[in-house]
Amino acid sequence: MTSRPSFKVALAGLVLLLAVGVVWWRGAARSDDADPPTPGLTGPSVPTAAPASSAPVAAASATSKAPREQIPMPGCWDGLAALDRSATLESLHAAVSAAIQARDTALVAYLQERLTELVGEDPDRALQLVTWAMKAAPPEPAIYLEALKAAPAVRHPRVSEKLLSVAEDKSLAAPDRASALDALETQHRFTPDMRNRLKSIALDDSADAAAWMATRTLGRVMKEDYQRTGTYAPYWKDLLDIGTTSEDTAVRLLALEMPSYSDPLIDSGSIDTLAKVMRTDKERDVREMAAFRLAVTEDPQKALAAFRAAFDGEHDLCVRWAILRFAVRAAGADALPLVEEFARKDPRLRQDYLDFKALYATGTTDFARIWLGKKEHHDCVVEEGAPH
Amino acid sequence: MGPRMKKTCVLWLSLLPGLALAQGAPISIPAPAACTVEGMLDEVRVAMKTGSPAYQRYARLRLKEAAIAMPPEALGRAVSQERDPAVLEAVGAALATKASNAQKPELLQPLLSRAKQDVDPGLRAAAVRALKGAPSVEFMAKNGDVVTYEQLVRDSAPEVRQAVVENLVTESAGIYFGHNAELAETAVKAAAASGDPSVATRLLGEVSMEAASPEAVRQLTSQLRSEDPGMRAAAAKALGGVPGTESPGARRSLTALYRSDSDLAVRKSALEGLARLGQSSARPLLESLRGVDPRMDPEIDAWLGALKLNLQEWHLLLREKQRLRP
Repeated sequence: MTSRPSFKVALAGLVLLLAVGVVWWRGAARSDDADPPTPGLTGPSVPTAAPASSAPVAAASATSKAPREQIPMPGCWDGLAALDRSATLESLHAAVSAAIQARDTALVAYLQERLTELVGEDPDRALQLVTWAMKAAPPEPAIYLEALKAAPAVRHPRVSEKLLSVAEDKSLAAPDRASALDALETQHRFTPDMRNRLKSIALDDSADAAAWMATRTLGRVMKEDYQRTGTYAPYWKDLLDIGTTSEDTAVRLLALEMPSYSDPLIDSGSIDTLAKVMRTDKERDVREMAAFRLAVTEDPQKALAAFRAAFDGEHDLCVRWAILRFAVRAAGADALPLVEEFARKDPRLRQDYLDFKALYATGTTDFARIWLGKKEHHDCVVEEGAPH
Repeated sequence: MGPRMKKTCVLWLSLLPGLALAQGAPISIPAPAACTVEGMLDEVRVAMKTGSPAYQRYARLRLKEAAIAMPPEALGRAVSQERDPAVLEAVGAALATKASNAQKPELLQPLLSRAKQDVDPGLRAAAVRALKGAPSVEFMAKNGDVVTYEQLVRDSAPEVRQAVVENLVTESAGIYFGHNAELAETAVKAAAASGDPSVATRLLGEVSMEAASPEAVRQLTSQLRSEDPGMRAAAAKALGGVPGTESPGARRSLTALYRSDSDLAVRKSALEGLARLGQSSARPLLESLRGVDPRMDPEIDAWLGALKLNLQEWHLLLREKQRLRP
């Protein structure tokens, strides 16, 4: 596999999450702290000197003549309110360079969000951001494309087509193609033609970072479409093809990982394919990922049979541990006899069997809670950035 | 160009002043400046009054960052004196950050005081909202529980009560990932104190009962006898989420409730609670409840259909059931 440290690091982070088994249960608890302001409280109609409060003094007037007390911190700017008030794409574009030069990440984030607001649903403005992104040097392209990604205009057919054609352009550097693919991840759905084009990039060994990003974007749009309409099958078919045929381990791994973020019930037919990956892929990580994928299916008994069939031929302790815990996730207390069988065959897993047995004996049924109480006995967590 | 042509051009330019300005005006880029307490507070005021949503987020975030380095007196004074709700919320959130960072919960007293005592309900609600995302239950306890959510949720203004709900729901999920006994207990107490069914429904439905103590479970169970059907339904749903050690008692209470309570919404919640407590093993019990109220049998069938999938995580089971029957 071609070296690409940033993706390796991102991948290692994802694998780390998988290894500790938190990907699926923390996902539900994630909170969004970027709440929009309450419009009703922010308009110019709010009286600043209304005497309705118990507060005796209007704060603004109280402070206007006092000596100004300096705070030992960087990042304050004169003229920002004026820029905000009369913002244009061009004025924000000009300010981006100043913010980058000052290494002011808060200002960069503001400019990016303001660009998103200005683009709104306008495809021409959206395409202007693509043009700037293609001409600029890092880190500017990411700012414009992230801004575009959050604007509704990114779903305009002219804009999504432009991004896809940039992603397909083999004359461009892989990171630029990957950035365009990244900006496509907020599409609500992909047409069959778009999916095919993304899949071709994902399976192109020379596409490097773009192949990885095409896979992730397919998976993220699958999540979006699944949550909106319940559709996952065509995306999953593509991802399973990528997960079984790509030459690139990172791409295979990612393709099999992507359903983790929406947890569709994997169809019975895919269980056979995943079972084969779990038994035969040459990479430990990919075999573990196939086990992970088999934990949520529409046929848990068939998945249990696949786990049983894979266990004996597997000699890596970490993969065996994955088979055990995902068997429990697949069938809960019903999996305990199989887990006991695993523990008999491999005494290193005996404590895991005893732990799960005791946890289910407390009356808890939700595996998310069972897992919280489970002690970790194996050194299978991949350190971020470590070779694996 | 002849004089006549020149005149025409001047005329056109004078008719299009906006265009002339737009073409001629240089783009002004913000310039670095020294950070001052007053400057940052002024920026928040301007942003909240006339700024874009992006600028408002930026100004709030910057103030929270700056709070670490700001003298607490300046923030406390601003919290005591501010009269714009949006600004009070931003300055109060910065003060909460300061209190948390400095590990001095007493710094929050001016904010708690406004949450409880301000005569303006908009400002009371803003003061409560300022604590959203902070470990506010712990903060209040460390301030001697002089101000509590149980008191605030009795506020006559619906916006204050809603702010209480948002805070507790956010705190339970965002800070403790549902694993906090105090949050569960606070939610149960606040739901009982509110007398507002919409508040109780959200508190009991959305604050995790995963770590609820036996005492909190007892209080929750007692709510099954509430006169208000909305409260009974909310308590029934919440009982489904109590710890495994409490599930036998909860199961008995919910089964009895289903058999005796004729309210459809209460019965629907009782079924959900029973399905959650037992997941796959709840099937025989749900089967046995068929016919108690024929109107509820399609609901029982939907649960049995989803339970047949033998899913092991509650959020997946609930999702599949809702697909069958919302």
